[in-house]
Amino acid sequence: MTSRPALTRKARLRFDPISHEHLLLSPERGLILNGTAHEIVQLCTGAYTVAMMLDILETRHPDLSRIALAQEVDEFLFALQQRGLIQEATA
Amino acid sequence: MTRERPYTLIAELTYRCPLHCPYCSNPTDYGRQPSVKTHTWRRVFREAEALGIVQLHLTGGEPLLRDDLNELVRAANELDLYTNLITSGIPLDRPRLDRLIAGGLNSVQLSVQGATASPSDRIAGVPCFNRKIAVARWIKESGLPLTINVVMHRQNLDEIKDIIALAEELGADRLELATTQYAGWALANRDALLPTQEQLDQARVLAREAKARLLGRMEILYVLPDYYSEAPKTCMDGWGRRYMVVTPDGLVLPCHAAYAIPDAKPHRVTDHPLGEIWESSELFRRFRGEDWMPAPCRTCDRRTVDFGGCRCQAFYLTGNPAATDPACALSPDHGIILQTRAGAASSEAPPFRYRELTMVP
Repeated sequence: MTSRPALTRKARLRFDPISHEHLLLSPERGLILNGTAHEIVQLCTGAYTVAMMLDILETRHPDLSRIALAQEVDEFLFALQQRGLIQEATA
Repeated sequence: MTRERPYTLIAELTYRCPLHCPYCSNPTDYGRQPSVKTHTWRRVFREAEALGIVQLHLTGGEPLLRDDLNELVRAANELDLYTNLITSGIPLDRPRLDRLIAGGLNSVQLSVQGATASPSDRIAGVPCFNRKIAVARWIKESGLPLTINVVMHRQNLDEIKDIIALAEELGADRLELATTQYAGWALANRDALLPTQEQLDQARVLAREAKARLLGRMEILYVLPDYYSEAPKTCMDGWGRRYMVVTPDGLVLPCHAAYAIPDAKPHRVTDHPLGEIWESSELFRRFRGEDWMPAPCRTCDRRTVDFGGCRCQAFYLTGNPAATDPACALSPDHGIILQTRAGAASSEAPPFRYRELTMVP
């Protein structure tokens, strides 16, 4: 997994005023993001390592265990990577 | 259940095109209606965004033949639409590409007809392959996401391995190995285009292998043509569920081939607001939901998967747009498909009937 994930150029976040959800758009594709997924995508700027993402999410979600969060982050980043929506930030 | 809302607008900006591809699904007989004006397109984009549309495809014909393309891209960008240019690439030059990107263009889908110049140019009916490769390189140099679209058929399926290698070499983000849709010119050329079972079996293995190998680098889309799959395609994700098409002369359709359906009576963008057409026009409501479905669709487990298949194909093959798509093995008309398949296996492909260049819209 990329150490400091960043959205690729083809990925674009957009708020959907009809469903009040956040969408991650790419050519002829769109992912509807749930709350945590949206938070993760917002952290895909190339500035945060996965561990830093987890630290931030942990403080925001004290009700969730770090293990559960780590699993969610890993799975979601893997899915984004397979779709070519994130890449490792260039240093 | 939430109400249906469209996600994608397909804006066909013109029917004119420098290529003559025999697989084109544009109509063979164009109307003589005037083309949609710039300010009307801008209004259509605004109304589309208000309806929920987030993806915009600027297509044709060849959208670059419109002088106002840059203005339209800017208008779409102001509405935060994800804007994709679907093009032959031929009228493009590097400065114009840069201007389109500066205006907010998000991605380009470039058509290629084959893996090398000579067979590719034969299909396009005009020398264009080398220019397309140059255009693909500009797009990649500019950093814009690139989709290579190759419409697959009998006369290029055997090149699939080289086509995949070409897209890989060009650094394409996506490769659409698109199935020929037998409407318009493609229907007139069906006997020259319909592949054999043997070709498809081979292509499927190669596409699957490449898809796994390139996962995360280049997305490959390859769908078995419905003439060979026993189940109909999920045409447009269902009638009036996700897509709206506006034709060069302003007709609003649930799919780009729906002009052919009898008594379609499509509304025009100049006569009605887009939202009203989506919600309540007879054409959009005609095959929405399940009430229109005949047996065997009505009670079929797949009715929420394929929505009864393609209405235009049902009409072309049976004369009845409300029939079960004959591509479905459960259709009482499936014999038409079996017969066409057998014909493809046993005969030589006839010569192409090339799409004619047109001076209207």
